[in-house]
Amino acid sequence: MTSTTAWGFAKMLAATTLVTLPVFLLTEDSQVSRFAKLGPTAALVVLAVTAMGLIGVQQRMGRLVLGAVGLASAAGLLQLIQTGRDANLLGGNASTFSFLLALSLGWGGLAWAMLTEDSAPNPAPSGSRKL
Amino acid sequence: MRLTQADPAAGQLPTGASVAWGLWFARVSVALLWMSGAGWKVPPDFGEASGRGLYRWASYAVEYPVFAPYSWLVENVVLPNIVVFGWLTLLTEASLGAFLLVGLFTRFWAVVGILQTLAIIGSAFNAPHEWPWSFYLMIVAHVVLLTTAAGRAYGLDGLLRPQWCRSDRPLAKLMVRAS
Repeated sequence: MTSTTAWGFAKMLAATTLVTLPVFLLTEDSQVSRFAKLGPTAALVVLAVTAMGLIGVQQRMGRLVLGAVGLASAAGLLQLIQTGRDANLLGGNASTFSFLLALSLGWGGLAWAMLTEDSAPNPAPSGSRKL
Repeated sequence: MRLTQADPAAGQLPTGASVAWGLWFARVSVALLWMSGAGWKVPPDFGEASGRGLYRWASYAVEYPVFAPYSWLVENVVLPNIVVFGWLTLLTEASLGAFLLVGLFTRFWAVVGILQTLAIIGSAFNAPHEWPWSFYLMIVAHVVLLTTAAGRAYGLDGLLRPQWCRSDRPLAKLMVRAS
């Protein structure tokens, strides 16, 4: 099985975000392909989180990655609180919260990996999986 | 007829990049489905006042019973406390979408996905216009994610699990099992 590196996962997360973003943006509520509801404001937040995370991992700037985690977490929490209310700044619903939570977890996991890998020996690449 | 195995490796499961991509695709697809499902759980009353949304779907367990004890539970515990169970459902399905999308603690969340699917089956399996195959396929998809530990295919489990495996801390051991 292909081993996962921090930069490899960062690229996968950014690619997944950028591929799904237009689908989320351009579909209507009634369409089954609208897996997550994302308005323009939420899309800008998602793009900012992705840019900060990607640059942070690539440039080994842990604080920038943590900034991405903070922004995604704050936006996700705001969406969770405002879901179903008249005042809905990001214009989303629970699916928007779920997507922002995913970004928060994804970049958070990468920040954790970056912060801890300096103190740990690199694992030998393995061709087999341990289930 | 006597079978001889000239090349033992020929009968082994493939472990290459194509398998990893396939598992990644399956995991992300299932995650997007849960995200979509979370989207129509709308607080604060989850459809109680209008008789729509989650309240309506939960009431199918009573209108079109699948399993009598579950129908009793829904009628006497879930529906009178729909706000609590609504939030629980919203958070569970939103978390399923999020954790499966990034492949974090995938085996644990695959089990949660199976349990949540069973809860949905208990409510909607006999409801009109439902397609039973969709429920079977949901179970199958989560069994695949569970048994293949799909979070290790381009997911956070693949990145972080080696660290957890090296640790002696109880929490790390728990995370190893969950991933």
